[in-house]
Amino acid sequence: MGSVKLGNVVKRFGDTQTIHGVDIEIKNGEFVVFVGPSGCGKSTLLRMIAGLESITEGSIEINDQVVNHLQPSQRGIAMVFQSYALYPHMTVRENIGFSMKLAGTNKEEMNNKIELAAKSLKLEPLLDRKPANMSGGQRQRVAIGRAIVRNPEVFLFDEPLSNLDAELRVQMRMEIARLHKELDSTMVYVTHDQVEAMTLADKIVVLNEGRVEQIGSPLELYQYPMNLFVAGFIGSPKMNFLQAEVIASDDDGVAVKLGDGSSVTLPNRTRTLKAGVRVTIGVRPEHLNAVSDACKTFRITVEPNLVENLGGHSFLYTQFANDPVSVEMEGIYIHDDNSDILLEADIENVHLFDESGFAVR
Amino acid sequence: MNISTKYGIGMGSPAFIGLGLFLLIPFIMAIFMSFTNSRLLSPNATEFVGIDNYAQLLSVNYIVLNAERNDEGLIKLDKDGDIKYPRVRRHLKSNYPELRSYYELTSFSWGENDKVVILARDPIFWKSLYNTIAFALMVIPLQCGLALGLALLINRKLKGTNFFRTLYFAPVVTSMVVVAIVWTFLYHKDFGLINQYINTLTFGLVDNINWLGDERWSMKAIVIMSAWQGAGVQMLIFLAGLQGIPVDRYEAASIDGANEWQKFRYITLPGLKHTITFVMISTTIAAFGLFVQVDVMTGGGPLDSTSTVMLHAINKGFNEQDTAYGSTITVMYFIIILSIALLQKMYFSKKEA
Amino acid sequence: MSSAIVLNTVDPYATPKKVLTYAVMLILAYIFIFPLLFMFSSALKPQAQIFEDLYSIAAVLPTGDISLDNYVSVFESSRIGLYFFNSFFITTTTVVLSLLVNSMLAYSLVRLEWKGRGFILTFIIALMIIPLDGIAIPLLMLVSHLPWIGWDSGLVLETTWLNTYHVQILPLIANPFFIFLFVSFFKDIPKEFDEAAAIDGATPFQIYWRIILPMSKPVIATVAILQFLGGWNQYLFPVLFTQSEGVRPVMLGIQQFFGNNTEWGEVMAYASLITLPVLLVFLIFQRQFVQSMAGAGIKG
Repeated sequence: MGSVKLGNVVKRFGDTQTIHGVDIEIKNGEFVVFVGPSGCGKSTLLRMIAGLESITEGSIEINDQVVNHLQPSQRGIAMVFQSYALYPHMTVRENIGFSMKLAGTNKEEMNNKIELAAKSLKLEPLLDRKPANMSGGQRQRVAIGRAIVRNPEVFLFDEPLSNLDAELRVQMRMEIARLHKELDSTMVYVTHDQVEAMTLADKIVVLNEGRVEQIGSPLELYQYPMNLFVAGFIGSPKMNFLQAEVIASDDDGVAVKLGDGSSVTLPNRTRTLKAGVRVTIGVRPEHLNAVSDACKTFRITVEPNLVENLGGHSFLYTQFANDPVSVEMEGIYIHDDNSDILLEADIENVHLFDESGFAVR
Repeated sequence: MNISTKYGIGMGSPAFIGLGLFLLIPFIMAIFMSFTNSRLLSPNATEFVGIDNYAQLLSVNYIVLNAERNDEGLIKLDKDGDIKYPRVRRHLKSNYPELRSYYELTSFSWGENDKVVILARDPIFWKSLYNTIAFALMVIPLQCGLALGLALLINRKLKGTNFFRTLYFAPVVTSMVVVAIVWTFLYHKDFGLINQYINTLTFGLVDNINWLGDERWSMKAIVIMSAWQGAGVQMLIFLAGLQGIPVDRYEAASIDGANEWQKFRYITLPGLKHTITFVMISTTIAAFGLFVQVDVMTGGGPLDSTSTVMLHAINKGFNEQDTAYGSTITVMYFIIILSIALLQKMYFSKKEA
Repeated sequence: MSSAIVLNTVDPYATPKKVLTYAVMLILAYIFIFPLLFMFSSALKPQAQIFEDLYSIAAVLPTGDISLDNYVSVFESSRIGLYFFNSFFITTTTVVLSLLVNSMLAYSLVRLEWKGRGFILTFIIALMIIPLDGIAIPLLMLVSHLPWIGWDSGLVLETTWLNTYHVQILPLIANPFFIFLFVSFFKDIPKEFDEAAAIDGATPFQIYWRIILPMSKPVIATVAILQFLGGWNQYLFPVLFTQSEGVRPVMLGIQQFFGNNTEWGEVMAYASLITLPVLLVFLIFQRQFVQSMAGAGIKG
């Protein structure tokens, strides 16, 4: 019930191929987020699951049934659009009940279901209003209500919060999370905002240029990104990348030379790297700290550019050799002169990526 | 997406049938029929006659007539003192049997005593064409100029502007049949309001004009009435065009010290270029289709002075039941307006570049 | 946004200009309205009164011996009642069918994906060039021989369309220009509505009927008005295709009446009667009328 499987899905428009062989498995009841930059194909994939885009190659299964040639209404899905797509000439009640009306459901059952959905989404006072007379958040909820009454196997969300202001977004995020808990249905959610992805998802699919970069839980992606792209995409502010060169690599670890000539050894790697190979060191800003007496294993000295104090925490923007390094620290940070700063981090929080961008663990 | 195709063709089919059956097929039929001898109700089968119809329609020729002389060789004069010439039809029959099917279209004097007669097998067609072109040449400046003037006035946004706009547009809504009938009364030589107003305005200097009975005035009467009826539509189109011109251009011009006329010439007119083009082309095409008014008011007379191409086509094809010939005229008509539309388009787009 | 003039308080000629403008507009208004005023006024006067009033402003005003006698006469001496019914029946049927047929094709061209629709759209736009007057004669030939299933105490196969209602309705329904108007409008409706409705289980027709059409009120009004105007004022096609009185519309009715009648007042009465419906529709839907005419021009 409610499982979705994409098998080697390919999408081509004429000569242009936009989706290159995507495999994704979604378990029943999971909240899966497709995330990635604009044009990565996340919306296309969602729409292919919905049946709004054709599948050039590969298969899509919902509940172990191949749905490639089924109409959207036959797939057991419901969708919440970015622009809500509420029928402007119908009231909220009619909008929510539209699918039931088409199916010929009797009036009593229709009203029951509409009332239930309205209650759950706090839409009762709005039932007889038209969409034009409602706020963005209210329209959002109507769109969700319309999806709920279809009792779908899979809920599809296409960037539903993009049109809301920041505060409303936080509120609606909680709503959607609550909805998921309440209904326990499978939800596939598309967004370009990695904060939404991190907070809502059971599982995240990171997409880039029509390919799956990595699939995993939010924490997995945060702690163990498989490549530079995922490492740079997940986590805000972005992970710092430092160019480095392998000095030597053996069973104890990999020794690399950093841009300023200093060296550091990263332990416990399963692969050995050849000497002289260009690699990338990655450290998240939140894992760096400015210290006077460095005692941790990873240390670099940086030139300060800018300090931003936001009260609860502060940002420090610096330069290390050829790479910019940003630091996020707790509390207030004062640095009046332009002298170099010493930064440190736990060695476990330092990532290593080989010359192709793949993580070396 | 087979369901799309199914519904696509299904939902489009009534329109397909309508367009195909009532627009496309008649159009193709017209072309075919013009090469046949079909008649509206005829027991005989229709035969292919090649370009006979076109020959009948378009053939022109000329002859030179010499003055008639009496037995002494002196030129005969008729009772008005004009030179007498042999009757054309008789002359053709006896002297030029191959021109038997030709009739006089028009003539002019040539040399000292001779006359050149232009002949045509279908003089009414040429007269109709001439009338239609004359109508177009007269009505277009009148109607469009009037419409532009009205639009400019309305656009001043004085109070009550909507009321005036309604009044100016009212004639458009009225059927051309009704307009033609009412104006028949207005154009009455002795009792019509038009002559009356002219009398009043010119203090009786101008005599009552026999608008519909005098071949010098009949077409002009049609022109005035048609411009009156149609100006409202162009007025609205010009209005839309005027409102598309950004206000700040006028404000900048005011600062630069431009007066009304300069503003009109350098801002309004250029800003209306596209609109003017469209209005000109559409009015021209409509003008060439002149039919209803002349059918109701004058029947093409007096003396074919208000006959138009379409009237001639309907006359031949319907009243005389010569559908093949009627189609031929129709095809010519189509070719003419297509050429004009294309010429106008080229002219106007050249002006832009 | 004004255009040709910027009336400001510094202009010493402001008021005279205003007065002049109003004067001109009033004169023009009279020019555009006096024939209609003449028509309505004369409809109420006997012949003598009309002639008496001719030489003054009374010509366009209902003065003197006014009554509804002319109207009574018209109803007695002609079958105007029947013609009115015919015109109403023909026009409203044409409007309804025209809205349906043209919008369905437009929907099919814009919202559904099928092979060749791009070509068909271009082709239809090209068809706009064909003038209706031009195809009148061959159309006459065609409809003279078209079959129809009619009713005459049982189903009957008729062999011609002449002298019927359907010959005055069906040929006017499919109209490239109206299709073009619908296409332009539909193009601006976001596709998400179709998609949401498809997910809700609607067939393409249901999407058209329940979603797209209700959202298309402006273009529906435009086409309805233009078609009503065209249908009511139809002259050429009825002239060619009908002879019998049974299906004659008012425009032919008055033409016949005018030919047989020399009483000015009666003819004016007839004319005023058949102008009233369109005039009323115009006055009520003024704004729509004006917008649709201008819009029709811009799209051209």
